[in-house]
Amino acid sequence: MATYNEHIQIGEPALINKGIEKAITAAAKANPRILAILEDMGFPGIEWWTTTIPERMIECGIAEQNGAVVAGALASEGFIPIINNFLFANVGRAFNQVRQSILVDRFNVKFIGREGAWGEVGVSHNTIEGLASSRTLPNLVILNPADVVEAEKAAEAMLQYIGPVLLRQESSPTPLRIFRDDYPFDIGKAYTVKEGADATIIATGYMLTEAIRAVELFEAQGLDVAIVNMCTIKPLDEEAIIAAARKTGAIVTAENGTIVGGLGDGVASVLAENYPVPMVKVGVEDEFSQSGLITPERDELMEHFGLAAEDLVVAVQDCVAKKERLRRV
Amino acid sequence: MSEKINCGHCGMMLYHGEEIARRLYMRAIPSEETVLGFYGNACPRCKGALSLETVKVEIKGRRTHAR
Repeated sequence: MATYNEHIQIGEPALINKGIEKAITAAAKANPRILAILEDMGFPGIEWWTTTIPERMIECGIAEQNGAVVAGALASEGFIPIINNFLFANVGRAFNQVRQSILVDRFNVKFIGREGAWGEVGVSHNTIEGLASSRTLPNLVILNPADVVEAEKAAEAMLQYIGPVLLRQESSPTPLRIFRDDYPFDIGKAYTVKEGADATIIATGYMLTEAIRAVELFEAQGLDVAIVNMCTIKPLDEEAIIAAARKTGAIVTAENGTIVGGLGDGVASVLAENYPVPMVKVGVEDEFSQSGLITPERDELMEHFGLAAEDLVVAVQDCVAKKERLRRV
Repeated sequence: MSEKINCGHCGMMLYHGEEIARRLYMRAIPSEETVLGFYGNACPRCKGALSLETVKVEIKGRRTHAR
């Protein structure tokens, strides 16, 4: 039976958007400078916004570049605009405006960006590149919460922090409720979900659910695997990464997005410069997302992209084998 | 070069981004004190007083011949 750290209490699946909605609505009630920037999309708690404070909602239409510039201008006057959209749109399509009109001056704009390899909206909307491409942007803090509790805490922290933040809301199967309400969330800090000796999985977002689902499979294989939750993608918690490498000597990263430039590459970069150990990156390979069949019996996309618990077991086995080969050299 | 400023009392991250003094001209943020001023010189989480003596400033980057 696995032993988890003290703030973990595995529960039923729960939608992370509920946590984001709760935090943003509470913050907007308390702070009249928080504004909703719409781009022909919904907004967390939109019914409350439209009935209570419609004057604090600005519809920019399907014109994301305009939305970014409007948000930057409002932030320059002390407002806290939140732009909710698919990540390919509010940051991706408006990449240059986000860079020029928000990040260069480090304006206090918040992005909620939906993205992930899973869903039924296909290659155009289930994008997987946004987290990786956003990592290249200076001054942007990037959060990718794993469950409903962490989503609420991350959204609260995003609004408490003064500066631009991207909160990635994943397109994924509904994640398990993982954290207790007293989970001490901190921007920039990883959290060790479970200790282990053979390898460490560093997971972000929904992939923490698959890592937890894999625990029983690891035990059946006689593998003692640590799990670290990495909600903050930028700045990465380098100390936690190096500590995990020192402890287990084998790192598997797990992300619901491209492995090119994402969490895995960030972790690899930290390890290569500080404490090189064998690694395997689990995520979407260098390819586009696509539509797939999702039924209660079968999830074609998780299977296709190799993002399920069983795939993490294979990755850990491969990583431990690499570690053993190096020991023999 | 990147810079991170954390509250020395509770650890809350107050700033992450470009090294503040790094830009040669037209700095977005003039100084670390400006950042602390954004928060009213009090940590929004623990309410501890913020000053250059009570925060942890971490600057990261490759060593060059000039620095």
